[in-house]
Amino acid sequence: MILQWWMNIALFFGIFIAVYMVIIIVFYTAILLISLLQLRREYQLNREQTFEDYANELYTKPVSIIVPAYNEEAGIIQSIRSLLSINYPSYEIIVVNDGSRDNTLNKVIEYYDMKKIDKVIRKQVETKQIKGIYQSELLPKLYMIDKDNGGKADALNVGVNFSHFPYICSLDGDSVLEADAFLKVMKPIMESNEEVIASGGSIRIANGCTIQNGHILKIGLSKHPLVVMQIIEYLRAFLMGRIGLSKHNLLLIISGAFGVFSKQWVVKAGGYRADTVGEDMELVVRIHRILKESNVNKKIVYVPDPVCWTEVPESTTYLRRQRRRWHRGLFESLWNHRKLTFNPKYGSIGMISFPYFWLIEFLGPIVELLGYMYTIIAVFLGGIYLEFAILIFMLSCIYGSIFSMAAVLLEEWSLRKYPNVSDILTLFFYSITESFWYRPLTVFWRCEGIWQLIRKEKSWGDMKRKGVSE
Amino acid sequence: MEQELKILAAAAFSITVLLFMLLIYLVVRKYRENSRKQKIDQYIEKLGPKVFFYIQNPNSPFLMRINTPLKKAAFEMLLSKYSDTLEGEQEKQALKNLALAYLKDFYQERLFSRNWSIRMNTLYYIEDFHLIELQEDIIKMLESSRQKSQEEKIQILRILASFQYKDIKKWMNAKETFSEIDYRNIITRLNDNIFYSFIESFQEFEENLQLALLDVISTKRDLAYLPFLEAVFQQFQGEARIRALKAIASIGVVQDIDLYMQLAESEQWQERMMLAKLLGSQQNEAYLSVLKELLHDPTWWVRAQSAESISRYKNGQEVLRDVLEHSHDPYAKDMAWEWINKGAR
Repeated sequence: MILQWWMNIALFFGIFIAVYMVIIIVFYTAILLISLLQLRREYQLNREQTFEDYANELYTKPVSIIVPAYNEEAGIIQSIRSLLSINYPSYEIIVVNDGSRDNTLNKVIEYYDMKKIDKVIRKQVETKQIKGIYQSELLPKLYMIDKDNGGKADALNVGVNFSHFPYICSLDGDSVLEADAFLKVMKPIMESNEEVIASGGSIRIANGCTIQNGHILKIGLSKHPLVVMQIIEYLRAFLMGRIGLSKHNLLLIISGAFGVFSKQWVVKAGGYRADTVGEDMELVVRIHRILKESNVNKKIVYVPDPVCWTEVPESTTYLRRQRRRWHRGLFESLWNHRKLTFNPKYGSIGMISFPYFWLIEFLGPIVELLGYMYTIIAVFLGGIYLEFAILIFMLSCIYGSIFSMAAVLLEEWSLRKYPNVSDILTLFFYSITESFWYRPLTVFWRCEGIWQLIRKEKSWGDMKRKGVSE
Repeated sequence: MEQELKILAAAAFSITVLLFMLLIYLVVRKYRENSRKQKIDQYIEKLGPKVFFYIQNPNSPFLMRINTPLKKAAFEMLLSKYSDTLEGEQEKQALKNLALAYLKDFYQERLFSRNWSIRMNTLYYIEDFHLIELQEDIIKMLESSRQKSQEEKIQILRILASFQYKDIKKWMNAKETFSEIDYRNIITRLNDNIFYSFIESFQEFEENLQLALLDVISTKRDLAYLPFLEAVFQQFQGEARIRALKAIASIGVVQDIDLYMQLAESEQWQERMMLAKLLGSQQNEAYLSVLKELLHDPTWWVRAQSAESISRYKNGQEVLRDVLEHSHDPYAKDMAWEWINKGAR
């Protein structure tokens, strides 16, 4: 009797996992199709020319680039140099030294001949104490603010307060920008008559590329399997996911590595929040929320062109930490704004985006992990359970490998950033293996993140940077 | 259950096969494209010096056969590179002659290609090489009933504007509207005569075009537009009024400043800021008291502009120091302090 009961539960459980995965697959297929249509249109356009008209200084909107730096002495000069050569008519660079314990401050002061200046800062968002403001004697558009340590969000807020221009861009210390990055991300803002208030671009992986003086010389593929898998993962997330979501203004993430915001709205939202690990997503959600609450028709968009190259972890230790942290950040953003979930007042954000992020992005790893466990157990049970196990296994292959293969092909079909035939073949064959090792690993790490949440661990875990530039 | 599993397995298998076929296609395509690129680079190296020689010596014969699509592509890239950098009229004419001789027919055909990106690229090149000889063709394209994208229409209008096509206005006043930036990109290409005719019909245009016109005037900084701007400022409301004021402020002078003094009480900080800016060029000490008041404004932008305007006066530094010493408003004092230090550096 009890055995029968257990059998039923196991059966029901199998059905549940299978149905869940079918729903996810249907959802992603829909997004994939939307992205396909969107990318198809821009295929093979002689892109540089379309930006010519925007390069006109008179009309483009000036941007304040904020670079929060905490113990970045290895890469900070390279980052600044890469920023100084971008192709954008008017901008300023604000390096915020967030109480670094290494030599970041003095290195920048010496290299760029920074002098202390007196300046009034309009305090629009509360921040930690500022110790000093510097301006470069050589390059007047380069500023540095020295402040007490308060975390990345706090550093960004200081930058927001100090910035002179109506648009702000947050940038990670160790990423390399394409020369046209700002023209590309500002284009939707300019074209829409400011209906677009925030815009993000594709992030690509710098490991394996040849970089000199903050410029990408040659795009290449890393030899690390872990990095190749991350490249595929990024392709998949950006090409498939975000283009599709952006099209219908459902976007909840603008990567902290590179995004431009209208300062006015950042200030209205109260700046970056210091008490979360995912301050970039949290801000986007908050802006969406304010937009809906004040009933204005503004948009947050995503540009498929790769604009920013960033370093990713090459070892499992750091990748694991990163994934656990990301998952906690995701939860905090969703939890802080849980009111929006299934709330018709917030339109498609409440009815589609939020449920999507809760059910698929946040809970997905748990269901997938259970699926793996079920498959293993079912192999021993045999019979109908085995059939379900095969079903779940096939579904997870579709979900893991086939979507990734499609993403690699989509990249080669539309943007074509990798120059060699062999790069595409490598990416494609690696993506076939995704379901068998990389996917389970990341699923497991994300579940660990949930476990940490339950145990209320607050540890941050930092990433070891070796510096991407030569 | 077994049946369903088989169906699913078959589906997964066929998708995989499909993806593999796609992969083969893309790899072949990439391979061919890479070798195509290589060949184009070779042609560019071969053609480059000859094109350059002809542009320098337009009377010399140019005896090249550019008959294959690859050679045409290489030729196109070369000309495009030169058209970005060439300055002299004679050289530009030589470049245009080359484009006319070798690319005109090719473009005539490509304008009606079924592929959107080919049509767009062709339009870009027509503008780059200034192929006014194709004007009739692009007008035909604009007027044809064929489905066109917004981008194509805008690009056609931009080309017509840079060709100084007289009747361009009739398409600018059509039912459908473009964004401000698109309008701006079109009208900045116009010469003064046609631009004036746009100003004359200002009232009939829709708002985006009106705002674009005001912005373009604001960058021209031409005194001749001042009466028009002042009229818009007096008669219009909302955004057009602010833009007109912005343009007036960029010119920097007005016929009668007293008409603007009421802006000191405006609800909108942009208007108060513009007044502060206008007062900066007055150099009449009677207005210093107004500027001093604006330096105590609740909005940062107004305070910053007022401080800047004050510092442009001969005795500006004294006024700022006076504020720093006697004012009770910490924000005004901060701003005064910043501008005193700015002058010192």
